[in-house]
Amino acid sequence: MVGQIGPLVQVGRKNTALALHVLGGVLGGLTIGILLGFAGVLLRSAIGDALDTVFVVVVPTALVYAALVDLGVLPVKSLTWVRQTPGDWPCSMGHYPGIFAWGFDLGLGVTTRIPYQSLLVVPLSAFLVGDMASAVAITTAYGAARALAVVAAVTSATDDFPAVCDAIQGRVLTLKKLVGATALVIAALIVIS
Amino acid sequence: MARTARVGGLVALAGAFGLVVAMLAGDADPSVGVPSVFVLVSLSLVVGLSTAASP
Repeated sequence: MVGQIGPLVQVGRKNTALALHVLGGVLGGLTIGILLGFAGVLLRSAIGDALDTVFVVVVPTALVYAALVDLGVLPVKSLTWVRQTPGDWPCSMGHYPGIFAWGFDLGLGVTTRIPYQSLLVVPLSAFLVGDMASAVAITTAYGAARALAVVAAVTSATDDFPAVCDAIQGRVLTLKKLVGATALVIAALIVIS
Repeated sequence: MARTARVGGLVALAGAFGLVVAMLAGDADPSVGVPSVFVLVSLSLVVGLSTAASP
């Protein structure tokens, strides 16, 4: 993503392009949050407070499973898909709409490749929380953070985007372990809270 | 130095955003509890900030 967006923001107004990417990420997270929140509210109306029990059992269990996979402790095939954000969007949609759409697509979280198994717990928990505002908070935070991470990488690149990509790729395993460890801690916090 | 400050600022902005949405969720009084929503928002931030290299 950095390798794709980086060179593109050199064309036209850089700050506008990056702001549109962040806006897309926020709106993508917001959209999936509304959809999952609505589904969760429907589920709560069907099974009532039993959903809270389902949440306390399923979400920490999913977090522990995802954490063990991300940490490399559980040698199973990761659940993911091959779709990536189409590289031709800035051409087919136009420069700024394409960059916005990239942010939106990535902000949805579940329509592109899943880099960490812990990511799957984000939409799962947004659904099982059974509350619209909470679901929107969980997924919008993801969409905004993912877009801001791209902006941070692009603005720190000083035009050498391949070098930044190499540097990030070199840290992927470390980041994966960080995400896995965070997921374990959060599973424990949910159980004891 | 300026680059580090800029990256730090963006990360801080993401953190502040997360806190705001967590507080909004707190006002909604979710039945699973505010702490659970807060830690899940934190997970979203960590996972989101860790995926800049993804396609």
